[in-house]
Amino acid sequence: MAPTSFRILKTLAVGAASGLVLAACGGGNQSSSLASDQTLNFPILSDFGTLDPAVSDSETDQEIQQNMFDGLVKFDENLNIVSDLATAVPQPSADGLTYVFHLRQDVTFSNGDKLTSKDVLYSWNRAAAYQGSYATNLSAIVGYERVSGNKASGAALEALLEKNDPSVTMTGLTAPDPYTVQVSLSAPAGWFLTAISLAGATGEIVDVNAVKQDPDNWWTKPATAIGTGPFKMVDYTPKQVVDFAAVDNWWGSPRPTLKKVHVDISVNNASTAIAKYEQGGYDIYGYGGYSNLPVADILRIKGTSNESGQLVLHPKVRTTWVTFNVHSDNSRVAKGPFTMDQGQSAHDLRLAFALAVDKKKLVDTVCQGIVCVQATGGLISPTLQGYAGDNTDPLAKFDPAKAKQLLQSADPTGSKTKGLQYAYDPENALNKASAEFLQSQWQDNLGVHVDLLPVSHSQFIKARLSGHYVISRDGWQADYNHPQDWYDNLWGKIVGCPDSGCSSGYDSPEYDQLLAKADSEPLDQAKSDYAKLAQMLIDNVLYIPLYYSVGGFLIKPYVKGAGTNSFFDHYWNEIQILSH
Amino acid sequence: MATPATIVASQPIAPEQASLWSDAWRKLRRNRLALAGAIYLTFVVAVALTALVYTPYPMAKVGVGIPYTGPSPEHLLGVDTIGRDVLSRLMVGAQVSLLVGVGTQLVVLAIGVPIGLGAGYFRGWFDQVMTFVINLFYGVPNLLVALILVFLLGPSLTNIIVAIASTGWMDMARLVRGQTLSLRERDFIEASRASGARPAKILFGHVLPNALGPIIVQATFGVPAAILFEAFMSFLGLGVPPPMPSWGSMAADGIVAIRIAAYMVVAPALALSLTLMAFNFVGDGLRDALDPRQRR
Amino acid sequence: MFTRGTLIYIGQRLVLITLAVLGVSSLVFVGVHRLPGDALFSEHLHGTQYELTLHHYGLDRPLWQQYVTFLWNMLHGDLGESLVNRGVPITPIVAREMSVSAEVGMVALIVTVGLGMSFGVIAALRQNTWIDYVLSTTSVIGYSMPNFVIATFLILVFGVWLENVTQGNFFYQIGWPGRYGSIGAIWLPAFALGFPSASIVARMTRASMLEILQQDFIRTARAKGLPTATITIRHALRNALIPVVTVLGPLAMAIITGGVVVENIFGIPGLGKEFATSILNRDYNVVIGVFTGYAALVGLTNLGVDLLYVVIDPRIRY
Repeated sequence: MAPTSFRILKTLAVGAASGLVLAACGGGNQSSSLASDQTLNFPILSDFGTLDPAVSDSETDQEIQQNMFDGLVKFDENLNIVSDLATAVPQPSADGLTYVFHLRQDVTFSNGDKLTSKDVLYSWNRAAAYQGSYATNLSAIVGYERVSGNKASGAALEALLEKNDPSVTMTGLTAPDPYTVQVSLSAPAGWFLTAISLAGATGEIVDVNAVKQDPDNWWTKPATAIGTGPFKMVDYTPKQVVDFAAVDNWWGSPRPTLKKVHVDISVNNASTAIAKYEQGGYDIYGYGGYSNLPVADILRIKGTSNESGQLVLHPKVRTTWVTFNVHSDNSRVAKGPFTMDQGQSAHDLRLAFALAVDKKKLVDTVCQGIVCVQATGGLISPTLQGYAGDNTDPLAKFDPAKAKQLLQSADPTGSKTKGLQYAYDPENALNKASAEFLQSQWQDNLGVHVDLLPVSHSQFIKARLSGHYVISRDGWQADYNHPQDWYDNLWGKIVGCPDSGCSSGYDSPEYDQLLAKADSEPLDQAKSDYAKLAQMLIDNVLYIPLYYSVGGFLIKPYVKGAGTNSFFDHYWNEIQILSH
Repeated sequence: MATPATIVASQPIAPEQASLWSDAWRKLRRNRLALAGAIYLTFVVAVALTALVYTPYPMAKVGVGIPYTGPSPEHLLGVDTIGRDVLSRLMVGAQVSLLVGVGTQLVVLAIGVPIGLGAGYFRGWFDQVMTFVINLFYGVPNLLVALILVFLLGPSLTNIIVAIASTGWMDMARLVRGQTLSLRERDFIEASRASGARPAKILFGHVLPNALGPIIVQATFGVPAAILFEAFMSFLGLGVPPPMPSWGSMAADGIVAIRIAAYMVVAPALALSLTLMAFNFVGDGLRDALDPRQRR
Repeated sequence: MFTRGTLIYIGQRLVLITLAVLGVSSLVFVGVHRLPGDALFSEHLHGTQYELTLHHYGLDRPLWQQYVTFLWNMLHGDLGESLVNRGVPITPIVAREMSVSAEVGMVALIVTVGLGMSFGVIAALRQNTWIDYVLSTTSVIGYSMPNFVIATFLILVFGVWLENVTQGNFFYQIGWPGRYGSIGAIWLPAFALGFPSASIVARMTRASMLEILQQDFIRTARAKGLPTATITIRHALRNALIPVVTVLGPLAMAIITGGVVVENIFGIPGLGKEFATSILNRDYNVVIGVFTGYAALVGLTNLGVDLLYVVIDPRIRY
């Protein structure tokens, strides 16, 4: 009768209602837990130098650029090379000299211009002509030599590029059709694909229509800061704030969930920014290249139960070491007792200085063992190709007795080690602390007094690279995962040793030959050759290994997809804000 | 019989015109704040001198204690961010502060006094030029000028003293000039001139001794100003170069850790404030004591 | 009030300020260009990029040529381009930062005069009572402590020790929201900045109030039966204001100077912070720009103070 059917109706109604609810919540289960305001807020502690891929060279610039621009190929989160603007990662020809890239046909710039192969040629020629810090990523291409001699810039360069002037056109770069790019190398280079995958660097493609409107400053204004990436600049107040918005109907994947990215540039102090993060002013901290968190804040956060879960520590591919000047000639100002022409006694002296430092204690004191870890596996950082393995580096040992013995035999009167100065750049607190620690170690364990010479950063780098310092702080942050990045840029003729662009002055025919061989081979064949190069550095005691850097990030629990691999932050188009 | 007249007569006659200095000394002695300040300053000087021969730990030695540890029996004021003993650094910092403070004022006196005397006495073009230069220096905040000077010359104790002094001599010069201007009209100066004394003798023999009071007061106030200045500069990273500790740079280093190790900032900040206060008290006392208007 | 004479005076002062600004900039220009090292060099640099960049900034030309271009641009209000942040023109940044520093400075000045005079008046009216002693001691402490100590102390108290009470809202105030600061962001730095000066004003006000309160005309007013409040405000205060106004110039300078440190502590995007950052980064063009901004700020502040005399004391005419 009525009650029964009523009950049935009620049950059906409730069932239907709950079914609707379930469908709403459960069906698109991600979409209902996403916040309605998909804006990511994070700070960078200083304004970027430039966003022009042809000339940028700092981590901050690149962390931002990687979301605005794309290259033909890129690194995925696991640092494998995958295709980006190209349809597939090309295999080189049998002789290793030719690569053919097929471009996707659905790519558009954020202003609607379609991407064609002439954009690739334009971008790479321009990057080579500008001779920025990473122009050498393209140096394997035929014709690079000539273009690298270019002296024009700005509007003048644009004019030359427009008419395909030979002085700024690499002959090895051709476009047989609008969606194919053919690259001819002058010699086989196993590192070529790796180099052009580097985010925010010379491999990335820019829009000639945008650049030529303002050749010098096109990237400073939203109207001309055009790329193929998932995000575009919509507002920029220098030193205050920069805003990005997701590009509608972006061609790539995953499509961005974030609608806006708000980057605050006004706070210059890490502790202040972290405090603001803790009070909800930011969603992440550490993005944009600012992952060197102050130790005090890390210690404090680790002690706070609800926050310590938000702290992510991840090794960075940066190593710091001490370099000796090992070459002496008229153009190198520094001489010193460590130069190789002084034979065995100089070798023993270098070894003495290396073994006299308790590197474990240094790391514990200076970094609390948190923001850096002892470098025991050679100079190439862990997780990279070419890392020798934990505890394999004999120069990382601490042996004060042997050190003293070596010193006695190499410098019995103490005259050679008189008046030594250790040069360093004090802007980074770790450099300063390490310098003072090293000084006290050499004093205590060797009885040698070394003065400290703080020199401001850019001056320091310039002076060190031109051979002004007998013993100094040195370091390198990997650009990409290939040993070539290290061995080509730190020692040997390629980078300019012994006289310019070279901290230690080290160069030898054996090194150059072996390096040339290794560079031309594909990586799996080259590994053993690169390992031999590492052994050369060890046998000659060219360095004292100190530490590998560890980066820290603070990520709110409602931010999904944020994080880092050793090189770069996760891309913004992988991030989602959950409702909170 | 105690008549009003006898009472008046039996009062002692007012003391003879005592000299300005003994008068001042008496007044100063009775000023408790100034006395406290002076005692404290003597203590600071003692600490600074002690630090020349003894500190609990070598002030530059890294890793003598676990970083970020608070005050304990081994480290009375705790350990700083890279494991150095705070107390030892505080003691050596006293040397820096005193050297900068007193050193700057000596330079200021050496420059400002002669210039002020010359400008005030000779007038004429020298005065015009000096006044112009002084006004020019007032055009920019002195901190910036000092910072840029240190930046150009390189950070070292002498350069800092030079930089701070070069922004402070104008006040001294103006003061001395003013004093000279008013003194030169006085009779005894006239007399001296009439008797053929040379300008140098007049200036240094007659004018200067009479202007000494305000000059000393100015210099005494100048010391804490210079110390404060140096603290500012160290705070901004352009002060005394490491490993020399300055109270200002210790405070700057410590601020980063303020939420877990407040003592790192509190110790140097307190040392600074107390020293500055002490100098100000003494300066106040001196000014009151030397003020001829405030008789007894 | 603003007579023709005053206007002419203002005009003359503006010309002098412009000359001073040019002079200061030139000195700084010559100074920094003799320095070794610059912001353009970096670890990765190879090839001709360094020379190309130098050329872009015109730094490879002879110094006198650079100076002429520099002066010419300055007269057009163009302070050049930042060396560190390529493509960023300096003039709008300096202008914006000047307004921020001026804003904080003004609030600090209000704190100085307002708080200082209140303390001084109250101390004078309650002379020799415990209120007087407390206020006077506070004043001495106030002008003896460096402003960064005061700032640190306030951060310590409100941000660290009282974190539970303030719910950490306190730290949120560090940094600057938008173009103009909010009360929440300004009150603390302005207080730290102004407190030392306020202490000086308090002492002066107290001393001059005491002096005035003993004068005959006050006694007459009291005898007439006027209430103390009227006496205080109408008669005594106005006269006590005068010595304060005479030191307003140096006090304003102290605030501008102190602003350099306070801005750095609180992360306020003003000239002071820019100065510290650009010096450490070796961004010389910005250093020159900041000095120019300061010279202008100082000149205008002094002019403002001088004009204030005209408003306050009608006897003064230029």
